[in-house]
Order: sequence, then C-alpha cells, then structure tokens
Amino acid sequence: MIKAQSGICKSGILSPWRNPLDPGDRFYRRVSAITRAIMNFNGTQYIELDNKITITGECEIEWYSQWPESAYIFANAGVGTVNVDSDRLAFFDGEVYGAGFNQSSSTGTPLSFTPSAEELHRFKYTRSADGFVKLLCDGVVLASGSAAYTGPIYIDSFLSKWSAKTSVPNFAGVIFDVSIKQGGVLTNFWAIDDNSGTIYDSVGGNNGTLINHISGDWEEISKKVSDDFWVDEDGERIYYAEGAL
Amino acid sequence: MSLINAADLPDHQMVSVVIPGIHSNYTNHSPLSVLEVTQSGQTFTVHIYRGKLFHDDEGESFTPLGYLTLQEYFTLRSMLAYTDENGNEIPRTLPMEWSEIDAMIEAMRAESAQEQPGNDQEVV
Repeated sequence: MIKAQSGICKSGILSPWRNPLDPGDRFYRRVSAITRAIMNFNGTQYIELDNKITITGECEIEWYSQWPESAYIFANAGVGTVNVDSDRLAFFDGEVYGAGFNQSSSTGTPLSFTPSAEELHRFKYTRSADGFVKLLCDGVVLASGSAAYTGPIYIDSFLSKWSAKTSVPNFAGVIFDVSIKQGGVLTNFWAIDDNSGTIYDSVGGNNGTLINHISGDWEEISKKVSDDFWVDEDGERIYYAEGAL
Repeated sequence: MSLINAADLPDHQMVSVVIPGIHSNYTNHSPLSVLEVTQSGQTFTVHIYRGKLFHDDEGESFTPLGYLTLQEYFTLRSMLAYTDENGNEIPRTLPMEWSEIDAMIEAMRAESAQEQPGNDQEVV
C-alpha cells in the first residue's frame, strides 16, 4: 500500500518517500549543506564604504558574481567630479571602462568574449607594478589595457555609479566574496553574506552600508561541499562557470 | 492617480512615488530617481523610493502618490534624460504631464495583462 506523501513528511524525519540527495529538499539543506545568505541585487541597491580606498600601485580586485552585462562594479561616487580612469570600473555595451581600461575619454576596451548569463563567475582585475591592467573571467583574459596606467584608483562604493545620469544601470544579480590585494597583501575582504544592512570587511575593517536595501532582498542559499552549485530558496540551482572554482 | 496595482506586492518588489520632504521608513534609503512632472499647468518634483512606508518631517505617515512594480520603474527610468558613456546627452522621452505618465503605465499594465491572462501582478 502506498501512503500519501503529505501524510508522512514531518519535520526532522527522513521519510522514505523523500530523496535526501535532492538539493531542493529541506533535509539536504539542514544536514548536508553549508548555508549562506546572499543579496539579490535588483538594480536599486548599492554599497557605500565607510572609508574611501586609494590604490596607488600593484593590486588585485577579485569577486564572484553573475555577469551583469552593464553595471558599475566599483566607483568613486562621492567625488562630485569624475576622472574616466581613477573613479570607476564599469561594463557597458561590450566594453570595460575605467581603472586603466579607457582608451580615450569616451572609449573603453572591448571584451574578448561575453561571459555566460546566470552562472557564477570569478572575476579578477589586476594592475601590475609597471601599470598594465588586465581583467580575467574564470582565469581567462576578458580584457587587457592598451597602455600603462599608473594613476590612482579610488573606491568609495560598490555597484553604485559615479553619476545618476549615466546610462549604465545599477548592478542586478548575485555578487559575493569581494577582495582587494595591494602589493600582494590581502587588505580587504567583504563576504557580502551578512544578512543585514551592513557589509563587513573581515580583513581591513572598512565596512559598507547597503543603500536602498530591504530585508526581503536577502536570500539563503545552500551548497554541499562537493557540489559546484548552490541551491536557492526556490530549489533552483546556481552553477559556477567552468574555471570559476 | 491609478498607479496602485503594485501596492499589493512585497516592499522589495515595488517602488513608490512621493513628494519632496517625505522620507522612507527604512534606514539608508535615498530616492532612486528624482523627476519633474506637470499637472494643471504647475511643475513639481516627485521622488521615487523603494517600499511603501513613508513619513513626513513631523513623523506622520504619508500615503504615496502612486506605486510601481520594479519592472515598471525600470521602464520609466530608461525614459529619463541621461548621459551615455560616450558623453552624449540623451534627452528625456518620458512625458512631463502626470496624466500622460499615468496613462502610459496603465497601457503597460493592460498589455502585460493581455500577455498573461489571469495574472495582473508582475513580479520581478
């Protein structure tokens, strides 16, 4: 005799009618998986840092995110006036702008390929000691600057814009584990899994405030250590792109 | 003003239209957009915020002028004046007249309802 599933699914009991390896199953999440909160940025929120960061030499800025197509990753939004190189790193219309990628005041550097949508990618911006910049996606060069850029890079916010009048939209999607290394030393790390209005820098103490966020923007995702995907609250899988891990 | 369908959505899926001097009940919220509109020959400014809970300077609650889904807001925002990445000034295409904006949103909702019969709440 087959019993109805709804009659036996009691909390805390592993029912023989449930598949414990189903990532959508609550048992999987509670017992077998690690869980973290993520922000689902929807094009209205951004992060303001407590203190502006000034980068003058060799650096690496790394983050995991979905491909935003068009968005600012970081900016010096509070500056009032703008410098095309020092005050932003932005994607727009198949090009990357700022942080040494501008070929002129209005021309960025074309991307060598378009990262896949939906998947999680590992992006890394690097500037060498002699001032050459490079952007990698999952270990593959996405763009490289055509000339040495030795000027400063200012960061006072993530996912904001240097002007409300730019046509680049706010970032939409998932982003986490943002880190900055200067001179080979890790100086800042924001996990962005704080589940509150504050984003904590566990290395440099330069915390950020989430502007325009509402608690419903946070979502819990779960992942088995051996898996290359997370499972969101709806049971949907969020995969890492090849080379991201 | 009939921009009210979005009021039934959770706060994180909608935005509200308010007047200057009105503040969000959420901390660290600033206007997503600020725009000029006209009504009965008068020009005034409206602010667009996330959520639907607001108060004035005296702490009294304030009912927004209207509500938009996020998708409706993004459409509206794309019609405001902006500067593209090549420095070109792109003029505003959103109507100035409040009633015309209202009619535009109503038309978008009617079109959306036609595409998805039985579902008049667009969830972003």
